[in-house]
Amino acid sequence: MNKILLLSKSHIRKNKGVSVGMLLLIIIMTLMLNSCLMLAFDVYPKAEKETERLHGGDGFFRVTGDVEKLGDDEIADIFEAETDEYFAYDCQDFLCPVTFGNGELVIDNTFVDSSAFSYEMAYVEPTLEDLDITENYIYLPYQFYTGGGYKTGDDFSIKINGQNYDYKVRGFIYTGYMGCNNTGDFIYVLDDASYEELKASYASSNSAKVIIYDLADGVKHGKFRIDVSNRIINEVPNAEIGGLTAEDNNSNRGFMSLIIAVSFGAVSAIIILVIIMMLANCISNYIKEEMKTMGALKAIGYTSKDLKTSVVLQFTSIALIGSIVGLIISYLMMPLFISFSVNQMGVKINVDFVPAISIAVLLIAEILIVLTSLAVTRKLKKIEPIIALRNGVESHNFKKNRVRLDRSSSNVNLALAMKTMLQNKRQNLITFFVTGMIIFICTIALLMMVNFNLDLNVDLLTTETCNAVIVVEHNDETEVEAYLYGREDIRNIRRVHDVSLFYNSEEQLYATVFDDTSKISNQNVCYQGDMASYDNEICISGKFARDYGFKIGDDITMQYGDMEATYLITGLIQTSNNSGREAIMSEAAMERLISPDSVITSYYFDCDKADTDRILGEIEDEFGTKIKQTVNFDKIIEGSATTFKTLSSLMLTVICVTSAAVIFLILYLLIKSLIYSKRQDFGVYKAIGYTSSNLIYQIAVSFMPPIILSVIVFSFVSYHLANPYMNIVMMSFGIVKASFKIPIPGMILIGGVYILLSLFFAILQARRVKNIEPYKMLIAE
Amino acid sequence: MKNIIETKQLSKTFSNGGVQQHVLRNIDLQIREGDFTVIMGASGAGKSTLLYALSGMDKPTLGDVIFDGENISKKSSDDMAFFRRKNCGFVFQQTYLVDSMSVMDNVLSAALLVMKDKKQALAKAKEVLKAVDIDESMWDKFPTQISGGEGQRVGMARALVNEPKLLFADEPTGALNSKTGKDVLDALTAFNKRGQSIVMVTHDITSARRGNRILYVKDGEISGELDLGEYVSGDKERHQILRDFLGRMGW
Repeated sequence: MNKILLLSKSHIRKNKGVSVGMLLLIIIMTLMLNSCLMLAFDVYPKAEKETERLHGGDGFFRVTGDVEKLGDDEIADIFEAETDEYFAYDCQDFLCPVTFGNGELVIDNTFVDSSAFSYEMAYVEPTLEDLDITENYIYLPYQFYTGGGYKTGDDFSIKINGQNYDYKVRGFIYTGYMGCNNTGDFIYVLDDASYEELKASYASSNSAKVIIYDLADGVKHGKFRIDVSNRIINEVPNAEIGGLTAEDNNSNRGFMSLIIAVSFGAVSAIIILVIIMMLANCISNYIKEEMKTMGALKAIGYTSKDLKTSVVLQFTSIALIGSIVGLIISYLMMPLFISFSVNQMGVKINVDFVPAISIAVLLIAEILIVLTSLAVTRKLKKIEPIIALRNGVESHNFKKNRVRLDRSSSNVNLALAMKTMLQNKRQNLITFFVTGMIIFICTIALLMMVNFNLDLNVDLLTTETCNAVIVVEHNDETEVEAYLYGREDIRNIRRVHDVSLFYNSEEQLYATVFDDTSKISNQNVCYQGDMASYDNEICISGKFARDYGFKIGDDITMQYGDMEATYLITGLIQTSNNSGREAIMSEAAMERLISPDSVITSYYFDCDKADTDRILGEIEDEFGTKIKQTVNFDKIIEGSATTFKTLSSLMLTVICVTSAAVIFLILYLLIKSLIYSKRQDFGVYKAIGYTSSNLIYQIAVSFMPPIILSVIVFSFVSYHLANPYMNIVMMSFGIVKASFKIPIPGMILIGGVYILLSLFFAILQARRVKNIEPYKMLIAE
Repeated sequence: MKNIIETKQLSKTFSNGGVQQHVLRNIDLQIREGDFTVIMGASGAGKSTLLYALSGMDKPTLGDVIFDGENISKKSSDDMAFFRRKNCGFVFQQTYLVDSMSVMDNVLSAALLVMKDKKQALAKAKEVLKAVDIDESMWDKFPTQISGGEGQRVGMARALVNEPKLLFADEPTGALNSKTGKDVLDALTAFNKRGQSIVMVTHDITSARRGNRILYVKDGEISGELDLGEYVSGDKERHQILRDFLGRMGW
């Protein structure tokens, strides 16, 4: 074994540049792969662990309405039989906007008193407290600290039904439920006096109960939630029932980690392909260049297996070192990657060392290198020492004289560059495909930047878009509606209800109900088929249709309480709301299940963006407490966009840096190898009068045709494949057939920058030809 | 006759692992225009080092090389490349043709550096290829498809295509058999007779006979010089004179 180790060390010493290049590629690959796996398998489950740590059970219900009818006996009657444990507490619940980050979030806000710290289930845990603040204080969910821009001692103001409530932030809370904007609700702990004051202001109208439960073994969760909802409605007619299963809660909280993990995974996959291509190229070149040495070694008794093992050992040792360094850098950078997840999860996350993940990454890198090396070094077996010593295993075989200088109309340096290019098919293929892969991921980054950051594609985030929404108290709809229709500065008024329906007694489908679906401004939401118009029609989300095998023209039976109605599916919709479990129907269709009197009515309308706040203020002044809620929709979108902006910025940065590093390394390895293999020719060129600048030009330009061709081909391919790819990635969020904008000038910019950057890097690398001294090169033989 | 190269205190020292080796020591030398100058000496005497220093391919450690009135020893490597393409031609022991280029392209790759008119370059390339007796049927062949002697003559055509002021030849027959070596030497002699100045390094007496001036290098210095006069084929006395000279030099 010692002799093999000696050989491997000698290979590494002889090929320092290649070794360093491969080492850097492996470092980048393991960095991305380890980060991807850490985010997916360590960070993402943190939300679940947090829920478990704070004893969150299997889920919770939040019941708003006349909850006094839901006493301990009723709750026990409903929950006791099918749960191992449950716990209920009183709270105040308001659907209203809160200032968060750079915008506002309209969200369910649940206020509780200090008993929350000692709940039997789903208790909250204080952090970052300032105990000197002793009155009129509030504890905010931890996400307000990580992503909302708040810190202890800040003022916190919330406008409920037109009235401002101001508190001092005493600290933050870790919470299993209601701790993340993605779940659509926040929980706040008030000092007892403030809580009582808030409760007194709204009498019983906003009182709510939260019931946490831990299911008994064997109970079907979906059916349990439907049964419980029906029984609660029986006890408390007109109750609004919210809440989530722990599973949905956790996946919503961790969605950012998963998205980042998927993106890092895609980049890692691309780098893995690059490594395979480059490794194969490097080993082939090495064997070609060292043919004589190999022959000499065989002549003195080394077997093909010895030589093969030495080459494999050379690259596996590089892979081992690269993987370890990559893992270390990955762990050092994890706090940065995690910070994006923490911003959105609202869970405190420490960077843990996860041996299983690290070992998996090391194994992937090693197996990748061993398999590729073994495959490429097979040709060593064919080397016969005597032939190798004559350097004659592979002789030049130029069947065709391409770019003949006597016929070429171009400048001699350009013609020689083209000759060089045409002689290096493997180099061309590598640059072509690596460029293609980079162009594709850059197109995805561009798509995300344009659609999620610069010009947020609101159509996909919500079922309906508008400038303003007002939520009206029961029985006041007619008066408010007449007022709205009387105003000239308001356009396209839609009466909307949000109802939660069930399918097959198990699956929840959130239906947005319109008085007239033809007035929906976001008609793009229905991406296939026709919008539901009549009382027997419904549009369901494409994701739901796919999950349950529905297609346009099928009938679907929906349930609400004890009622059932069958609808014809006329179209498929897509939205990331409620993870894509959405439906649209007309008010007439809803009436077959629910009376409009028993659901909350909202009015969506359009107006000039600049006038929205003024108009909403005037409506509040006009109707006072008859208006439960006013929402400036544009501000809400701005607030919701923070997550997407963060994600797209991170992706753009990671992809740009990785792409630049990959191009640099690829060109480094290819040009180094080219110069090495053609060093004698370059020496001759210099001897007969070619300057270093001539040769640098020839080398750099020889790389450009495959790069330019690839940029053109893959820009076209990426332009057409980016949306289908995004559809696959976003399917789990409910987007089935997205048509994200991909600006052609942006594509041209990416292509142009890529070509210029490649040329710059190629010139930079080709400068090493300056080191070739013709005299030394010619007498070296 | 005009001096085409003049050296002043030309020295070259190599440093290897801290050990300095003085390969050329304070050489003052003139190369005359139109001469066929032969540099001889034992192995390791510094012949090739002197040749490459004279041609500007390598820089001297100390001293100057004045080439046709221009001091080239201080030029940058790119300036030297510009200088070489117009003034120097090289023939090496190995052919050093670019394997991926045809015979014609090898010659044109040098011609097109100097001649911007492609037709003129092509005409000149054809002319020199014919002059070195490379048949038109070989012009499209690759170096691996022709013999060593043919390759050496193609190398000579490449060296001469730009009508250099001086042709440098480093053991041009060293890798050839006697027949093909003679063909190469005949070609060099013929070009010299037409006025081409040549400096050739060799340790072969048969090759050295072709020169009209012999310089003997020993321990990095010119230890002797012999004027042989114009080469005439079959001149046996010339051979003996050269032998005697080399004997005196300790050959």
